[in-house]
Amino acid sequence: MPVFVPRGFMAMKLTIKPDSKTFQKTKSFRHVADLPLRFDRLDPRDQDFKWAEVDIDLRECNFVLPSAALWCVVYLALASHRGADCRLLVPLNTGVCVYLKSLGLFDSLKTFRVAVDDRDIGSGHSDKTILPITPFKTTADAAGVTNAAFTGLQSAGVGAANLTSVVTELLSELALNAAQHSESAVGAFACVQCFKSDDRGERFICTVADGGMGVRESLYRNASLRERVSYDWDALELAVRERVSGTGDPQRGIGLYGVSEDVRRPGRSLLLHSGQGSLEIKEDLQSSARRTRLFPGTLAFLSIPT
Amino acid sequence: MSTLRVNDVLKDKVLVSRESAHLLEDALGALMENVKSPGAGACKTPVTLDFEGVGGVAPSFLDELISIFESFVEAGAYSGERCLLVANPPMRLSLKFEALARGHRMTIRVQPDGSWRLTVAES
Repeated sequence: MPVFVPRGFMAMKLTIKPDSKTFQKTKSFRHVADLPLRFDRLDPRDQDFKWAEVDIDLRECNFVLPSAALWCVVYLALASHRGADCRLLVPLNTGVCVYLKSLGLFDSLKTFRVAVDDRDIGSGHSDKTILPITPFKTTADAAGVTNAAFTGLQSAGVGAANLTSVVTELLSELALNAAQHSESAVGAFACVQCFKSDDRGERFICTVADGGMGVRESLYRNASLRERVSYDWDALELAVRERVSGTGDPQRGIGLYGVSEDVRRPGRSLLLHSGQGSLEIKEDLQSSARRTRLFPGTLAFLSIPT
Repeated sequence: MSTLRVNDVLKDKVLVSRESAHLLEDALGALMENVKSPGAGACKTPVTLDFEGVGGVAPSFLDELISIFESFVEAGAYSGERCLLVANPPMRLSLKFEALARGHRMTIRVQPDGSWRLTVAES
């Protein structure tokens, strides 16, 4: 549960830590579903988000997925943008800290004046990290991020040669979407990793997140779609269809449709999370939009077997 | 010649944004003007965009490039065959590229040599 600590006349301190049943069993922070339900009302994009201090407490974590790491970046960057003093309490597990440092989590947060006590944590490079958490704002930045990932994939020498273009193509569309449509006050972030797990084998994981308006608000700007986007989850279902775009331009709306079509192949998956909606797409899963915990912006989590 | 080597103009390995597609506008316009001019003798030769040396192309980039091609055709700056060849595409022809072509009322086919032929659909 969030902890409310009165501090002074109006100032309050907000502490957020993963606390789901799954988290209690595994100590793995995977995504915002591991956070307490009350936290849904604490959206740092809102004008009335007036916390004086915000802590995210990862001390118990033995594993942090990139989707959770990017939530930390977006949430704390937004809270800091609102004027809160922010802090990340790093995991007590040194190995997890080294991994998060190699992912670029700590450096990313420090650029937003978030306090991170990463003393004595080595800065060893992880072979898993193809592209560390990289900020971007414009479409030119998105192109830069994509090309950096391409170079990283080539030098990593992991996976089939043709996968390099597949991964970068998909990453480019997700990054372009964030740059063009999010209007995020804190920009957007991307990272690419190569994971090996016992149950799912070796995979590329691409994660893109922003702290912007979200898919529903973006589509709502297209007057012809307004009646069809009452909730975040139905906006996500609509967004992955051909020629659906917030711009209203009939030639646009290929990006997310294209990504969703490309992931309908064996072993691939895409999780989109925007506001309180999420949508998972797999080869054998047409659509599974659902209501979930708040992500203050939009996150895309792509998994492709090598 | 009616071939534009994309990598001669754009040095990025992955071509992503609509803005970068516009960096090819002058070269593509000159090429199409050349095809149109008397004596070129190749009015039926389609314009070819050669992607050799390019590592990846985002649909947004290709979409904008087709729009630029269309704008030259509509402006009367071109009288060659109303189709576009994409040589050495660094990506597989997938549903999204077919959808992209449909948006321009074009069809897209893979040629025996692996190039893509985008043709204005019959009305």
